[in-house]
Amino acid sequence: MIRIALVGNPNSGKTTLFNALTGSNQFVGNWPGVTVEKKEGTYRSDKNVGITDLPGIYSLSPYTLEEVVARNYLINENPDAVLNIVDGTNLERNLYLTTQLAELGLPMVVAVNMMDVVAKQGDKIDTKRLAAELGCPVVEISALKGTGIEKAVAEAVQAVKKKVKMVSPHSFSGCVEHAIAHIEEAVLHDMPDEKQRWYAVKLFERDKKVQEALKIDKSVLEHIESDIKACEKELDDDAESIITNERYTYIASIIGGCYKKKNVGKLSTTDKIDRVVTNRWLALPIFALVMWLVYYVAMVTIGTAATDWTNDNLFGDGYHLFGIGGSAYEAAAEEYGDTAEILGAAEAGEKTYVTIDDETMEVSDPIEITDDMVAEAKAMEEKYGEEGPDPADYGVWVPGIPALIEKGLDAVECADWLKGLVLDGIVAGVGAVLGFVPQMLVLFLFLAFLESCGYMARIAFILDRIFRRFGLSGKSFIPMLVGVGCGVPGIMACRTIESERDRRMTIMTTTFIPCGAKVPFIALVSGAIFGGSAWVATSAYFIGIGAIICSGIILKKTKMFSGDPAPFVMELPAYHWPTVGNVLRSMWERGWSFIKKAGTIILLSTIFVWFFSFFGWTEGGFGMLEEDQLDSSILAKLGSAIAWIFAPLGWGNWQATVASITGLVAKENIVGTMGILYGGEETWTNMSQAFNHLSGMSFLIFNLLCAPCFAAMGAIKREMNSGKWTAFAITYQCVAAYIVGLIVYQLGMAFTGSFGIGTVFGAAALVFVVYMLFRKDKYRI
Amino acid sequence: MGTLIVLAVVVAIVAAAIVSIIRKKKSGGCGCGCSGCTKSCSQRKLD
Amino acid sequence: MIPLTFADKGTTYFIKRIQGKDEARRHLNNLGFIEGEEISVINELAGNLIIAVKDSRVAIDREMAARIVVGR
Repeated sequence: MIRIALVGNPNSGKTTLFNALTGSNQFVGNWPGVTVEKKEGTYRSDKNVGITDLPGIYSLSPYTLEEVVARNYLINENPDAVLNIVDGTNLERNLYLTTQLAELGLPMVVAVNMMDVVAKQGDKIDTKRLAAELGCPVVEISALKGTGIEKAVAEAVQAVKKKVKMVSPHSFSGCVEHAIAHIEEAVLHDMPDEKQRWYAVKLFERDKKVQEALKIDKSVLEHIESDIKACEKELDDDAESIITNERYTYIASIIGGCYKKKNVGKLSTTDKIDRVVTNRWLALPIFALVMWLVYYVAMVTIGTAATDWTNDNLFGDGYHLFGIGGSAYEAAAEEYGDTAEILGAAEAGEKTYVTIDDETMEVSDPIEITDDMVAEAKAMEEKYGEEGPDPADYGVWVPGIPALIEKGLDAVECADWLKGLVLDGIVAGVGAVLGFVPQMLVLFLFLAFLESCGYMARIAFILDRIFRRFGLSGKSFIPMLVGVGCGVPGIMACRTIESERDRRMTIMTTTFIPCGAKVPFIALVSGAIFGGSAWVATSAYFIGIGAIICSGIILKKTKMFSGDPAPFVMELPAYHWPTVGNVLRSMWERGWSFIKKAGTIILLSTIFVWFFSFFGWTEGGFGMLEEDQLDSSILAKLGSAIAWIFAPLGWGNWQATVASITGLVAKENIVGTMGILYGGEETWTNMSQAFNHLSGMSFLIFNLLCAPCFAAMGAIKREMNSGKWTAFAITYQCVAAYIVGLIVYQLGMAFTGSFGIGTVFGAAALVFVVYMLFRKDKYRI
Repeated sequence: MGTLIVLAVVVAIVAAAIVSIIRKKKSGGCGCGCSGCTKSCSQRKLD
Repeated sequence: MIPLTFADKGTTYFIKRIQGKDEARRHLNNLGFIEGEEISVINELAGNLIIAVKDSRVAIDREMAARIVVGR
């Protein structure tokens, strides 16, 4: 088995190359103990060749996690060859890493990527000359187009088979080489010849990790130190800088003969776009426009339309295939009209009837029944039968999944309770979530496009100064943007933040922004308690953003998070049209795990809720309950035990408590649970009685801000890499949610005239928050 | 009879779900595959 | 010699010195910012800069830019 290590700068196309070489034969995990991604796979064309994708790095210094992981692999795991991928449009900077890799003594092949772009720009790279200068094979490739990649691997395999010993042709200046020779003699003589150079150079740079790894004697270190100091004196610079500068000088010396640029000094297309997109007047408006566009298309138009269709049809009663028979049925249904309601009311002796909207569960105003109406209704009943027109009679009708399953269950004579579990529990719960998949896919598609084309990086740059006011950096925005779709990738996106403090703070606050799963919940509160007001949904996003900003301000003033803001240094990749394949694949990857989650976690929790709410103690003992006996269920008993905690927030009833708790498993559960506990069709009516505007708001706020779902909590734990920090984050979120809910409810009630002991707490909480926000920052200089 | 079959199916699905969750936890928690990852995990400081 | 914060857009400068010896400076080194290197400012936004260095574009904040001393 030949193992090739793939090494290169970030943005050099490494991932694309890795995917092209391994296809789907890849395994993605984490390097042990760290949250750095580890990718391993087998070469598509030869199963005996294994490829390990190392993290993107700019150098082999010991300072960042990625660098250490990469170099540890290269030194300790003994890959058979190194495939160094280099961005052909950025050759000079990329070669900086190459010169370091060359010193490792491993057989190496340099693959110059993006040759297609190089050609398009009219630039020329003399790969033969470059190979001669670097002392190793150089292959031209375009990972995107797939050209040259087989040759690159073939060369690497050749190098391994021929047992090539890579020797770096580059020498440093006199006194440096002198010191290196001394170091090799003093410390490294036991090592194989070709390996010595890298260690020697590192020791010259005073690399702490290498010093530790080699367990060098203190006296020997001092001895080397004197050599280094002598060199520093002679060249009037520090050791690290000497090496760095000499590497670049060397590269500059060979690049002239190998690389001919066509348009020297002119603005590239990327630059021209950046001049507009980061223009001081246009940057924010353009950004706002892009955000609005993403939100509008994904959530409001396509997304909602697709979700509604899925919920109403696929997971509803059914649909007409390609619409065949649809219009005929609709005509019939319209003619049938409110026949059922009219006759039902008339038979009961009522003078008026009401209709209940299928979707919003809204109850209409009572409509007076005239004799004419009754007569016509009777005629309709004759024509269409008691139940009204059956869509299945028109055109091509595909029953929805619940209908199909029900038929199946009836066919095998399944017991009622099990039917209830399957249909009202599993199918209803999981179906509701799956209904959102189309929306999520559209959102993920947009986000994938934004990432791949290069604009995301610009967003961080544009928002950086604004975010600094709140104690965060521009890089903190990207996780939040991604979090609008799903909190899990949002939290993972925090990896790009170098400063540990900033990263921890962003991880903690990313889930304040409403994620996709909270949308049905927002809709429920808005519809049932606020009569469908559109302001509720909008305010949810503003509350999230507000919470993030306030958290930033407050936390930055605490000892834990104080400190100088991290410097913002970020490479901006050139803009390019992402390949359709890549974008679709990224979208699908995320969408698929969303679906998988529905089939696992949500599935299990709906079963759980269903079971514990339909079984309890009544007069007859322990057994299955009717729909109106849910107050005696196990769940009710458990919920009531805790519900008092939320009484100060205005919603101390067991149903809301239980719903919030199931929301910890998945935010979608809140809606499902409320539906089961508040009686299916009557949910909205019951809810509007159980909550007033203020308690409804506080209920909304609490669930928006409190701890996210288990999956997100898992992501927080992985990214924080510390149980302590994870606990802190979750606690912070819950406490913040509670406090804000408390303030809103208590002070709102006080405003409307009801004072009580709670008001005191509410006011105290408000004073506390205001103090935390506006107190003097003793950590700022 | 039919009830038993359906029950068996439900139990099988639940078992599969539980197994899949445990397996995901065991794999050390991944960088990707959860809800897909962003691109390069770039520079970060040690300690 | 002026700090990069005062540089004109589009003009080419040479890096004379990068102040400080910390991680940020090393990161800049890795990205190609070294003494003698040619750079120019592509754009500026609220003090933060987009710099063209070698063949790449790097965004830096104004505090960082203040530490990079350039000349013509």
